[in-house]
Amino acid sequence: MDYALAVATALGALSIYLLLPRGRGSLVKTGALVGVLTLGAAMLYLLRWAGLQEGVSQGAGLNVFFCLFALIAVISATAVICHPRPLYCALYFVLLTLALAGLFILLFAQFMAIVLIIIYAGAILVTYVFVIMLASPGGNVTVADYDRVTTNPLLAVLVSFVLLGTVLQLMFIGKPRAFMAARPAGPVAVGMAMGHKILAGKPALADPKPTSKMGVMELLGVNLYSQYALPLELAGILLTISLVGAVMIARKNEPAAGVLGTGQMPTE
Amino acid sequence: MPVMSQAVLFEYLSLGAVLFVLGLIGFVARRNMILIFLSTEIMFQGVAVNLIAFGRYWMNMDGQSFVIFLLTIAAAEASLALGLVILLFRRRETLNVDVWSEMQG
Amino acid sequence: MAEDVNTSLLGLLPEIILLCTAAVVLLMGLARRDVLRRLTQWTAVIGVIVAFVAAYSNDVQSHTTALGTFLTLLTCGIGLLLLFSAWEMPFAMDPAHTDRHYRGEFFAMLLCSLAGVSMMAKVNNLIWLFLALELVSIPTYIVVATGRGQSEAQEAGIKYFFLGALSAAIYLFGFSYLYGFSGSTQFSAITAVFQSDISRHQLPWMAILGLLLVLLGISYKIAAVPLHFYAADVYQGAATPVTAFLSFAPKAAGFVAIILLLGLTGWHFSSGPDVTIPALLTVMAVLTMTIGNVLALLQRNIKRMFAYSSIAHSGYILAALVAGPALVAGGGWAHDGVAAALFYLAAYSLMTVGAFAALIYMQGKADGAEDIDDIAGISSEHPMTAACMAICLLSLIGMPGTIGFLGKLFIVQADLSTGHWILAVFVVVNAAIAAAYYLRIIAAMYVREPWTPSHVRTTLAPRFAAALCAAMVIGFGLAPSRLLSDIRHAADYMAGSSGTVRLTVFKGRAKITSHFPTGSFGRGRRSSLLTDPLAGYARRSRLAGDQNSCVVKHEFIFARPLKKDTAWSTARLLPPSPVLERNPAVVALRMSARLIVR
Repeated sequence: MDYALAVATALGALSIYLLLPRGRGSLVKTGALVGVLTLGAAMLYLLRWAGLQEGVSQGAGLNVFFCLFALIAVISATAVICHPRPLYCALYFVLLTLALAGLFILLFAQFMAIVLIIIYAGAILVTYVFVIMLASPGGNVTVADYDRVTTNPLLAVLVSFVLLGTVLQLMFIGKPRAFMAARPAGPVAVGMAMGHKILAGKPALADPKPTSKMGVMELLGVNLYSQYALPLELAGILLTISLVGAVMIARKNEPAAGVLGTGQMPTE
Repeated sequence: MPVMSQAVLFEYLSLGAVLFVLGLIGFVARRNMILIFLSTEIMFQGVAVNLIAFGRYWMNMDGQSFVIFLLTIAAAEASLALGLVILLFRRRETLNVDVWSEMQG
Repeated sequence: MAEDVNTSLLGLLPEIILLCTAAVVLLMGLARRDVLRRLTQWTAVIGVIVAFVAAYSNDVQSHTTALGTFLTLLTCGIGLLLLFSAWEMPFAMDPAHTDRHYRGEFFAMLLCSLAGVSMMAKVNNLIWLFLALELVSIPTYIVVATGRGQSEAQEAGIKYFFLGALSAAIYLFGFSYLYGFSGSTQFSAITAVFQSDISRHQLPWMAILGLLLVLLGISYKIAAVPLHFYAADVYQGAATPVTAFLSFAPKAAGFVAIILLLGLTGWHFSSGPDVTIPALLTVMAVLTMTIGNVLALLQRNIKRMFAYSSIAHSGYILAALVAGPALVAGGGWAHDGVAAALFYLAAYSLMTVGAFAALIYMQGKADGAEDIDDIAGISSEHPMTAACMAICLLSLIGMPGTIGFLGKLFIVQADLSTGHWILAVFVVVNAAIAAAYYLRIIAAMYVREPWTPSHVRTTLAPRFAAALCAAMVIGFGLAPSRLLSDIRHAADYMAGSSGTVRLTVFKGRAKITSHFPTGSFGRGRRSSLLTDPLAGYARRSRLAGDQNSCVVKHEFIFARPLKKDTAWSTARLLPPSPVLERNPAVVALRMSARLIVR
């Protein structure tokens, strides 16, 4: 057991527990302080740990941008679950997606970063904000009672952080080999190897040397429409189903007496 | 594109796990129906971080493709969830999920 | 073989038919003419029957696995019964509910969900599996919430849906680890990585963690501990035909998903940290069946009781899965946990759908016959329906002569023969506990005086479904051979996937050495190797090994030069089904035949 890591995890649990909204005597400031301590400790731990690993020179230890975006992501995620006002929660979620988009760019997933911003921050979260405004009993001026308190905060924090602690302990203890088998040696790094394999037998796609020339989006498109063509169709079906379902769920059940038998369309 | 070392991968994985767990806490502890569903979205984001980091590590596109499907399903579920929330709000004029526990036994 | 599904859509023909029917039904529900709207159920039924016939055809079967075919046939068969029991939905389900014009959507949702279940065994990568699981679930979220107008339905809907989203997040987190550990989403690639790691007797923690999370997440679909607690409220709150649907579709999908995912590991959890997974499965099985049965004893509401009993039956199936698949294809029933699980799944679906159909028929009143008092003394007025229900309940108890008895028998056999006698004891004890509450319903129907005047439905369909189920419960209970052989083939898909086979050919002699790791997951399984189908054809067969592994050597001698026909006939001694190709021993024999001919 890695005690430094265990202490950091426990501190994190404490800070989340303190930060969760509670009716009487708010402990937000203490919680925030503990949280900042936790994050600092976690960063130091990661720095030390990354320094100990072999082959760091390639990955250059702890990336500054990773630290920045990860901190923003964790803080905004904490704010989403801890803020008493739902509207702020939704806005913090937007911040979370922005931070994740930054991380995705670091991971050479530019397309996913853009998609995350457009779909999540732009579409889904706007819908959330819309529903929150629509369904606020007090017109969003006052904080509702049920947003001030939580159910079973202790249980939630304990269960979740035991899970997190287990995962992190397994991940950081001993050799990484025990947590995850090493990537097989060899020239994996030749571009995104996938494109190579798929395009090999298909001269119809003009580029004979795809790996060096093809961008991430192109590779993603090839991957999506060759390997996952059927799941893509399924995703379309699922979207249709949920569209129909949303209409079914949200419609008002107005009495439509005598619709059947008259042979007429029900009028709305 | 340089090879990603396992150490860097683990940094991303721990971020993914932290996001997942934060979402789990929100799901169990919060009482506002909208926030409960927002918490599951945080969990999905944790999964997305994992998947993209793995995709980068293995140098293939499967991770990113997976995330595209993840986002699709998350969007589909969000539309249903919000529809359901509106329906329930119309009945009880509250977003408190505890109101909806009449069946016991 | 699984990759063929991706290139040829023929294997997916039944699902395509189901989805197309769903689209047609959806549009028919919006039709201007009343006559057309009345025909939606018939269209749905015809679609399911066509899908069933399509799944039966050889062209389709040759493009999919036997497990896929079996699941499609089961889904279409049970789906047909479910459609019959939902015949009036959402019409006279409760007279207070006046929304009369959306039954097209309702049946379309059921068909989409059925298509998802039917597709489940044909998936070949994690992404597809995820989408198939969602295709099963999303329509059920919708029908639970909209199935009837009362606020209970909406309460059930919100509970079911939110917990469903949570479970999806959990198993997706597991999927991300499975992908990360192998670097691919394709099942074949993941299996290969698992196999190579297993041969080093050390699975990385990430793989184990991934599998654990996936099992926890999917436990929601099968209503097993730890995500079982929604079941009672959701079963009670949903309209009864929807409840019947919930007791089949997500459960079948979840169990097949578990079988596929455990199959990725080759079902091999012998040493090292890998013990975690069988331990988790065992604990889940014991807790699930015990909690389900004990809580079911306390219920007065019949639908709640069925909810807890459905939890308990999931526990039995989990107990079968702990036993793992047969080591070699074509082995006896006694050792094959997967076959026992599939058989029990089919049996449970039949029994429970029959009971629900009878219950739906008796639900003439506005809020339906939900309390046990509502069906008191119903046998005097409706002897036929009461008899159907009684037969299904007796089968759920496990009376000899019914399909439920055979199901429990196979599970107990599989557990005993693989050394999991504790599980077998738990299954038997739980079956005895379960008898108490099932008998209470039967007693209420037959012994007690009517409490309230009974109202039954006028439609024939639910009654027909109940009668059909009861007939099949008895029929398959007495003459199960056809069903058994289908399931045998389906389970053979998994059989032997854990072993490695080495083939050596020298001067017309073919030696096949199969190496089967045994261990905590398969203790005592060695005897099943005696039923190895190759043994009968080999000149000499030898069995060796220690506690942890087991080696079988078969030696075949072919006179040289061999005639082509002779060699192939040797290979054909095994059933010429594409299913068996997964079994390394069979592959080796075929290879040997080919080599020798050359």
